[in-house]
Amino acid sequence: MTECSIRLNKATLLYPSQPYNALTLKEEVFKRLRLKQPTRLVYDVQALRNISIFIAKGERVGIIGRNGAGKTTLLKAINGTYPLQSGRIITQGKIRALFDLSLGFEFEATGRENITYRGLLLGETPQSIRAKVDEIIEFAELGDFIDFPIKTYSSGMLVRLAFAISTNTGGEILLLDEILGAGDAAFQVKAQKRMQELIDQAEIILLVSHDMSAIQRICSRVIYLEEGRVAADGPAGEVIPYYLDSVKAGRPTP
Amino acid sequence: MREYFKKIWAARYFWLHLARAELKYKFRGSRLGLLWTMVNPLILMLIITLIFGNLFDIPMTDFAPYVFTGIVIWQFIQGTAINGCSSLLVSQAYIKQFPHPMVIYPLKTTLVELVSFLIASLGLFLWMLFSNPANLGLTLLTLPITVICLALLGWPLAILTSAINLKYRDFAQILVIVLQLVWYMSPVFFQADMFKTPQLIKLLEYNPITHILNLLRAPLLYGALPSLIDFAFVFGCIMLFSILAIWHMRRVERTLIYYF
Repeated sequence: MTECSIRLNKATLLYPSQPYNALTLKEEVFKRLRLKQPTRLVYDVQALRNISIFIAKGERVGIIGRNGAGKTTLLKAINGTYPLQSGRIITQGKIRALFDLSLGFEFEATGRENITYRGLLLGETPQSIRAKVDEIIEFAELGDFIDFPIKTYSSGMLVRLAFAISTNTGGEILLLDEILGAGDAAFQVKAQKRMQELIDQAEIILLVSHDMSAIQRICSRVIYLEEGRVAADGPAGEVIPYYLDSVKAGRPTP
Repeated sequence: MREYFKKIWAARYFWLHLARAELKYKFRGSRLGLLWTMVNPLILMLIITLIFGNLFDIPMTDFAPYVFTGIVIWQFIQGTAINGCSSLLVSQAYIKQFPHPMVIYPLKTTLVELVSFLIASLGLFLWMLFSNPANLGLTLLTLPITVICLALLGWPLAILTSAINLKYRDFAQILVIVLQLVWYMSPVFFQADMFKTPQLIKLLEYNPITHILNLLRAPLLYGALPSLIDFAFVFGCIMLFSILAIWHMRRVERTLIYYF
């Protein structure tokens, strides 16, 4: 049995403004030669400020907060996509992130090839994928279309394929940005069942959502983020009402 | 560092697959497909041989393989440098989704260019089979060394250009011009005896491209092993680029994600 945990220690994440302020070599050279002071267009954005939390095995944690509070950034930092400015994030266990599902499809390749692609990206081996391909194709309900280039797919088919691939393997730590649903009514029932299975399997769940009833249903602990800080952290029954009250009170959004 | 290479190794199925897919789709919809990789340098070689062979009055049989070797090696260097520039940019969907080491994307470019080099060389070897088969055996023996040298040279080069181009998107444009200059300063199709002044000959001797070209030229054209000086220059370049690439990636890899 592996130990599973997430520990954030004074995690601070800054989206630097540099990429948007100086982009060309010409500007860089001019700056170095002091011919022209670069114009500062935007400033660094503090997305996470000094966050310290510990999430133990078995916890189902909801993350709530207004738009721009740093919810998704928190997930991406835990996933390792964005580096911290200071502080540390220590995770134990295999992380499975479910966001940006339809990113990274190869549109010229067939559905079947994209299954391989995606699987390899997520760390499978060619053998382990071969074992799963049929199951994924069946789940996505694509039939013979699986051997067509996916640029010929309808958006519904794409979403079904993305969902089928991405949810085929779970992980010990599941990072979710909104509960995923896809396709027509019949597929949605299936999708929800699949999501529930993944959630049941996982040792730790982190769910970002604006849907309070979903949070209530799945999570026992809720973290309320505001302007990159933890505004409240506790049982769902306490934090959700507190959040809703503070939204109603209409404190100015940052 | 070791940890880093372990991660690259762990992702091997992924980048191998990326390279294979790129080769597969590079020529989609074209009749000759991958064969273009062989035909393109062949035609370029014929053009240069005809024009400059006549201009400088060099016998075709000597000049053609000289130009051909020059082109296949040059196309590898140019390909890794130029295509390396975009290697991170075109993979941003993967990079945003899964934190693999960034260097696997330039590695993919290097692999693609390496396979292109081998296919192009096939054309060269076929040519030699008819015009001068004597040296072919030795060339095939030294080919693995050449390929390893090119891979070790191309990967750090592509890493550097990919990382720089991500920050400064006009880097690729500048690089094209710089490479054009290097091409005219290197004996890709110029022969050593076209360089008249001592300074120019010095320049030729100290140009690492000369020695990289010799990896293929020495066995194929002259039936000899590349000299120790050639290997020293190639090894020096590998070390230089590797150290630069490691140093640069250590500094910036973590922040590159913000530049997409």
